[in-house]
Formats: sequence, structure tokens, C-alpha cells
Amino acid sequence: MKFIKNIFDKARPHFEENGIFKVFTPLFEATENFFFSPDTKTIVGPHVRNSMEIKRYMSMVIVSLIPCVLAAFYFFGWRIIPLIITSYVVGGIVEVIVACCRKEEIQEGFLVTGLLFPLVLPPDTPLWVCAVGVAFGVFFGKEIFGGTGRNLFNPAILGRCFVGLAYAPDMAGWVEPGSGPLGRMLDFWPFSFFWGASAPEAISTATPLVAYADGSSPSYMEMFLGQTTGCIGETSTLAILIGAAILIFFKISNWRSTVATLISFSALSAIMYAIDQRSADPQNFPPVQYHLLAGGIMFGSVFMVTDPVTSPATNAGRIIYGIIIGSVTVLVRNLGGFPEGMMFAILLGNVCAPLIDEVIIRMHVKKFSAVKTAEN
Amino acid sequence: MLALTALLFAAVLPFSQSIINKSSMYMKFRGGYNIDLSNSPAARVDTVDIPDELFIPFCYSTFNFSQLKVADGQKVQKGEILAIDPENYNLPILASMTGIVELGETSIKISNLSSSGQAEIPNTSGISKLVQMGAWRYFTDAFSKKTAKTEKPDGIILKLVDLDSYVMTSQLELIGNVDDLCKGIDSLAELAENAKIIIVISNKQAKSAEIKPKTFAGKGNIELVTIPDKYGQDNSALLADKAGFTPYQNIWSVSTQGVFAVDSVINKGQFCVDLMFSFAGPGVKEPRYMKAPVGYPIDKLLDQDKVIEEPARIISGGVLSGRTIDISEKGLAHDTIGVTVLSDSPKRKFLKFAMLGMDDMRFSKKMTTALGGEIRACIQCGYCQEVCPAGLMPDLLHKILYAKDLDRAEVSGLQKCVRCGLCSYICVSKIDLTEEFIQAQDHIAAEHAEHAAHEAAKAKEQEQEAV
Repeated sequence: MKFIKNIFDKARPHFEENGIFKVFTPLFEATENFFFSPDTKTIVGPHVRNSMEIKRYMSMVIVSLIPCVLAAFYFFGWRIIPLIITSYVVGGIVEVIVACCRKEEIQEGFLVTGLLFPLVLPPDTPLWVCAVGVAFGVFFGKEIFGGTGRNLFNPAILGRCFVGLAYAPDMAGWVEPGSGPLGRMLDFWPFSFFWGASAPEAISTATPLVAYADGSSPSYMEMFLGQTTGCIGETSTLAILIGAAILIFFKISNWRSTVATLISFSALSAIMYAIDQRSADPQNFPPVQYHLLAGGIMFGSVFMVTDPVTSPATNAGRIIYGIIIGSVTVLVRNLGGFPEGMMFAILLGNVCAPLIDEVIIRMHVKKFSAVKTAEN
Repeated sequence: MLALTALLFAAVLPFSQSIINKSSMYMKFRGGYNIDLSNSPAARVDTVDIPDELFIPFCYSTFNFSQLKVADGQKVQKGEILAIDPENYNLPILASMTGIVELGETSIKISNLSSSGQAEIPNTSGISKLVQMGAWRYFTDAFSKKTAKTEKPDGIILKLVDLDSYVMTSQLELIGNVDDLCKGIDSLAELAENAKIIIVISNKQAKSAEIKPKTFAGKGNIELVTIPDKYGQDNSALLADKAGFTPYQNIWSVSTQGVFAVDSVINKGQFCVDLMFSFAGPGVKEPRYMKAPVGYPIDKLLDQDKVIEEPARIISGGVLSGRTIDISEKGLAHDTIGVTVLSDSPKRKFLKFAMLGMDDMRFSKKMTTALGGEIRACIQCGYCQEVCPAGLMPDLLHKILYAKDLDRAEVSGLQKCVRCGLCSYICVSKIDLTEEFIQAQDHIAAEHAEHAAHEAAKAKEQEQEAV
């Protein structure tokens, strides 16, 4: 620790007012504050403050994502590591450049975006697609609005939407999940070289949502554990539920939006399934339990819908927001042209969030103005 | 996969258990994040020895007793008026002991002290007697928290509880003194001429059987209210609002000490020159309650048992709502209810953010004035909405004030902010929300006053024109 502190002490003069690396001051400060908590003091009361801060808040989200990453590592192997590294490096560079141009501090929100983005990509996505996606998401989804806290869209989802539409053929790198005690953990080049295991082909198997129509759907147990094709972090419902438990136990995310999304999603898909079963010309919609376990609904409703910045600020608003996202997802999945609708539903929800807030706040404010007129 | 899951559960479970087990012992704010008050004062009152000299501050951040009534070198008796504040209903500060006056820039020094002798008891009665004998400092306006108006009140909030950390909770003062308390309440009811008196006690006090509703049976217009033991619920503005009073009424907020002061002034004819306060906080070796005259030297107090050698912040009041005592204030001011000592040199800790809150369990031992993070834009995490005792949306108000839209802030409930400080305490982005609201409230109040003065001038002009 002392060793690292010495490095920072030695480097500091170069980043100060007259130093040669003056432009990179935000980068230096961010790195220093990453390793050593800042020693700023309270000036006005209250004299003590909670030790919960943005960095810790964001790292709690990362901790809750670890089960998903571990599950993905087991099912898809080493190929996910370069994707995560690329996402962090490219997104980080965009963040640093913007911060240096603006002469502002580097914001911590990126710590989460950098991990969320690769988790919603197919496992065999080319690295350049990942790089373009995260750069687009961070820049157009967040930085042009003014940085973390001011963004309208969830940067990870916006980046995913962009590459999903622009590079559709490259975004179909689905991989058959591993099985057995080691899964695909030994399946990547350095290991296959030593162990002689065969390198996995990127198989274009259909995701569960597509497979249902063909009648080749995986079993519910496989889908619950995550042994299906799908995006890196989205397949294992079990891992997502562990993450959700961590988030809700430590009160990092607000349970209202998650619960509202899942309930509205289940209710609408149950209704549509029931109507479909009774109709003369059934469209073969999947049942509720299949919908819940397949695709990105669980991942989205636990990690994306609960993003505090892009969801409404009021509790009532969060419930409405969840209902919009849950129902739109079902409508896109069952009636739309795309097999998965979570991404579009979240972006639509992001757009609606300020509007929902405005309505709720006006109702809330009426209470206060009623008091005021009574006083006058 | 399953093995990994089991491992993760095994890692998280012990922590969750410890949080659940311990949470009942702490002053709980939210979730697993509590302030541990293990260095709270012991339940005994120490009386200090007579010091060599007293420093009575007359000009500091919250008060300015601008009209001096004594001259340099004059001999004063205990209870004699030293200075008054003409802008605050002529609120006086009294000489807390007999001695010789020496005028300083911000404080009055009294030396050659002795406890014998007492000034003449003023020949007045009622409220003006309370003011002249030093009891009025315990009376504040429930909403603005400034000195209460010296007119007949529309209602009285009698707070027998103070829930800020480390300050004097009122239980102790009550030991063996319920009779005096009742006498004080009787006198108060007489002064208030049948205005409604709301006595506020905490759940804990209600259980401890010191005060029961029957204690006050048949004592006029008295109502007993029980509040949860949660900081913020004891705020006088909140209590007054809940009781249906408005800021346009004259509502007194009186503390337990205030009731005893009323009793000693009206029934016993004694001057109120002594302070009862808590001396506690992480920086104090032997936390306890103390009784000392107003102006008792702070240095002497700290010399006795301060443990923090490094720079310390001395706070008058609790850690959440207290104010920093300036170095130029050499003695205890007349409104001291507690002296709290905190370390004022936060250390840079290696990878502190990765502790994930587990280090908070023993928070008080490390409790410092550290901000604990960098100031960032609001991320709407909603924690402030959760803790706000007035039911406001501090994040929304912050946004509105950021856009400098004071009118909208006013209709969004800015005036309902009770300045408790919990939103600033909890803020993840380390925004000084409370300070922002206080400034905006003061700005609006100043604007209203200016507007009223303008209107009055206009009306006068019109009147003259008509004549």
C-alpha cells in the first residue's frame, strides 16, 4: 500500500497546474481516488456522513453481477473474458477522453456499464463489434447528456440496440453451452492447446425463444440453470436470482420496478397464452414459465430496469415504469417481428420515465400547494 | 456452478446474520447502515469545580448580543444582565457567577469568581420574568427554530425527548424530578392561558413508566404524543405540523430543561445560569453528562479527557444537527445542549470502496468528519426520499434548485423542510442537500419580508395621497 502511495506522491507534480500531463489530471485523480479513499471533510452539517458513496454503490452492483459472470464462464468458457476486457478498455477510453475535454472528474457509473454491456452480447461476438457498441453506448447514451446522473437512456442497452440493428449478422454468434463438471472452462485456446480439447465451433443454434416455435425447446431445468444458448449473462436464471437477492438485501436497487416488471410481464403473457389456446387459429405463444426463463427478461428486470438514473425517481413512477416495460416485452415477443423485446421495452421505458415522473410529481405537489392556498 | 453458488451464500450469510442481530442496538437510519453510538454518555451528571475565569460568548454564528450592559472592570453579581439582543425580543445573557468583567471582542471574561451573591430578582412576572431571568433561551419558535415570540402562544410543543446522537436525551433529567416537571408544566399552562400544550415523549420513555398520561390528568389543555425512537421524528417543526399548527401561528417549542427553568424561575425564584449538557463522542475518554455555568472554558473541559490528539472538531449539539464551535469561542455558549468531539483528520484508506459496507458495523470508533466520497451528480437512488421525516422528495427539490426555480421549489414543499440533515447524511453523491434547502428557505423568507415591506410602504403612500 505504501508502495502505491509513493508512486502517486511522485507522480502528482506532473499532473498539477504546471505539470506536463496537466490534460490528464482527471485520469490521475480518478486512479488515485480509486486506490485511496479521498480525505475530504464535511464543511456544513451534518458533521458525519454515511460511508455509502457512488463507488461503493456501483461496486455493489458489480458484486451482484459476479454470479452471472461465473455462470457465463462455466457455460461459455474463456471467450467471455476478452469481451469484458474490451468493453472496459474501450468504454474507459471514451470516458477518459470526454472527462479530459470537459476538465471534469471521471464518473464511476462506467464501472457498471462496462460489465453490463458484454453480458447482454451473444458469446461469440467479434471484439470489434463489442468495442463499437460500448463506445456508442457510452458516448451517445451517456456523455452527450452530461454524464452519469443526467443520461436519458441506459448506456449498455443503447449500445446493444445499436450493434444489434447495425451489425445483425455479427450478432448471431450463439454458442452451445458447456456441460459436465468443467463446462467450457477449459475450452479456449491456451487450454485447448495444452489439454487437447477440441475448440468449440460457434454453433448457430437457435435461442430458446426462437426454438419454441420449432418445437426444439430446452427443458425448464436447463433454462433455469442456464444451460441454453443465449446472451452471455442472461441464460442462468439462478445466477440472476442470486444477484437480485444481493441487490435487494443491501437495498441497492428498488424492488418495486423489478416486481412490477415481472408481474405485468407474467400477467400479460398468461392472458395472451390463454386467449391463444382457445382461439381457432393458435399462434403458438409460449406459456408464462417459458417466457420467464427464456431470453433477457430476468436479467433486464433485475439489472437494467433498476438502474436508478434512467428509471423514474418516485416509487409510484417506478411501478408504472415496470408495468410499461413488462407489457411491451410480451407484446414484442408474441406479436412483434423480433424474438426478444426486452431491449426495446427498456428503451421505451427510459423515454417515458421523465414523463411518468412529471405526472407523479404533479400529483405529489398538489398536496403541498393545497396546504399553501389554505394558509393564504 | 452449484458449488460456486453455495460458496457465495456461505460468504454472504454470516454478514447478513450479524447485520440482523446487531441492527436493534444501533440508531438505525436505513438498510444495513447504522450509526453505532457506543460512546454515548453514561447516566450520571458531573458537576465541575469553579474555574479561574469564565468566557461568555456574546457574538457568534447564531446569536449577536449587540447591546452591552456592563463596562470593563465592573463587578457583577450572579444573574446580572451582561448584554441583550435587541433584535431577538431583548433576550439577555446573564452573568453565571459573581466576579469582575473584562470585555473581549466576542466574549465577556469574568474573573475573580465566587458563587456567593445574587442579583436582585426583577420585579416582573410572567413571560418577561422568564426572559429577564435567563429561562427564555429554552423557548424557540417551533417552525423557524429562532427565539420564540414573547407573546401569548397559540400552542406549545413540549419536547421531553431529543434524539440527535450524543446530546442530552431527556430521560436523565427526569430521574426523581417528575414533581418539578409537573409544577413547571402547571406554570407553563398558566402562562399560555389555556393554549394547547402537546407533550412529546418517545416510545422508550413511554415504556419506562416515568411519564404516564395520568400524570397530566386534569391539567388543562394537555395532549400526550408518543413518537418512535428515530432521529428526525423529534423535530419541533414536524411535530407542530402534525398537530395541525401553521407557521403563521405563534408556536413555542420548549425542551425538558425549559420546563425545569420555568419551575425554578416562577416557583423558586432562581436564575437560570447553569448549563446541563452531554460531553461525549468518539473523541472523549469518559463520556458523561455535565453541569457547568454558562461560559465554562472549553479548553478546560477538553483538557480533562479528550482522547483524540490529532485535530478534532468540537461540536455544540449532536453530530447531525449541531454547529461547529469556533476557536474564538473560548467558553460554552448559553444554548449548549451537548459538546461532541470528533476526529477531524480523515485518513486515506486503501480500496475503501471495496469494503462494501461491512466496515460500517463499528462506525463510531472511526467516526470522523470525512465526507466519505467524491461529490457527484444526483443518481436518483431514492435514499433521501426514504429517510426524509417530512415526506419530501429532496432529490426533486435539488433538481429544481439546480435550475434556480424558487417558485416551483416553494410549491414542491421546500418550506416543509425541517432541516434535520438526514438527506445530506445519506446522500450517495455527497450533495449538501440540507444546506441547499436552508439557503433557499432563507432566500425566500428574505424575499417575502422585502415584498411585505414594499407593500406596506405602498399602502402608506396611497393613504397619504388620499389624505
